[in-house]
Amino acid sequence: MSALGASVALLWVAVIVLGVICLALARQIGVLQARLAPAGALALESGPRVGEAAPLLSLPDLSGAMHAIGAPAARDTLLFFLSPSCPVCKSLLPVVASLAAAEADRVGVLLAGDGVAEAYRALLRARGVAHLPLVLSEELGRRLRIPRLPYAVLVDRAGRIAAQGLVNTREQLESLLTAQEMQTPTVQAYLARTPPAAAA
Amino acid sequence: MLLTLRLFLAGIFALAAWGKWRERYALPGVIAGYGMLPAALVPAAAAALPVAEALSALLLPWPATSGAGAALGAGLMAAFALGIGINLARGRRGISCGCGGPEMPISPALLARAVGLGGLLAALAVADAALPSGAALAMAVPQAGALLLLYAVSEQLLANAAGRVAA
Repeated sequence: MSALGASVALLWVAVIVLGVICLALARQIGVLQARLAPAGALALESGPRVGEAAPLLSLPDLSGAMHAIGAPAARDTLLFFLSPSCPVCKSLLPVVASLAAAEADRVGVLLAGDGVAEAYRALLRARGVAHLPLVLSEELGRRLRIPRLPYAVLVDRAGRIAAQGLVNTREQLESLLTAQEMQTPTVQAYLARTPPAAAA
Repeated sequence: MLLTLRLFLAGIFALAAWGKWRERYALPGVIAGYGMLPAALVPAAAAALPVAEALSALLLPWPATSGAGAALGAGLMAAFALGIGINLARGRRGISCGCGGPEMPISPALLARAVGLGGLLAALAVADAALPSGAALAMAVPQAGALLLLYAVSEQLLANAAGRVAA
């Protein structure tokens, strides 16, 4: 076989192998897309469980207005626990604000922290969310056993905990509302019950 | 060159027939979904379709039967294009293609594919079917194989894109 012939034969082998690789990768993308599921907020096994009553507290926000937690209300309450020293909390604040605006008819957002009021005021101003109410209460965090930040707890209209979890992304924050809609404690529990459809 | 195309199209029909045979229990439902045939004819069509595709795949490579295989294939593609086109015009984009490859709904891209392949088959039905000699004969097989691989990749990517929009 001439050098040219050998080269052409080798190139055909390369083309076929690359074609097989392309097909395998494309199929794998299809499999991954089929398996992609809503990312759920990580719920940690501590504190009051979903379905239990939230602690009944009445707390003043930074402007002095009183907020009742755990009492029957017209809307659900999303408690977002944050701290000025937590970078993920800072980056999530605009997301919390946009969620508050988008879901205003069903959820009232209440930020919760523990520490120096001035530090929180500066944080909210810097992130452009000074309109959101913030309560400072060491007791609230302790009674709900907030393990890590940023943590979110959804309290329903009847004062029960509807969903909760450690949230690092918008998807995880929204998953709390989704979990409530699906009547499941966490999105993880829902996914564990219904495995994603097998891909082609 | 013509042999490469004939082998390529034979491969497409072989894959499609195999895919439909694997999904044979779902095929009547898919055909009924197109809403083109009276219900009494659907089981017969579902039984005949993979056989017709396999027959076309078997006839296409050989000089003596290539014209008949291409004509049969062109007829099938015309029927597919008609079914997809009419249902797209009806606005029923959710129905399953049932094309034999990865699962996907009908789309303008699939209509264009059926029209394109049908045109190619119609041209081959009247083209010279003599076998080439020497190197051209030997190279036709890997050439057709490479084309078939690219076809399978494009089909998978189409299915992926459809899945992404639906999600």
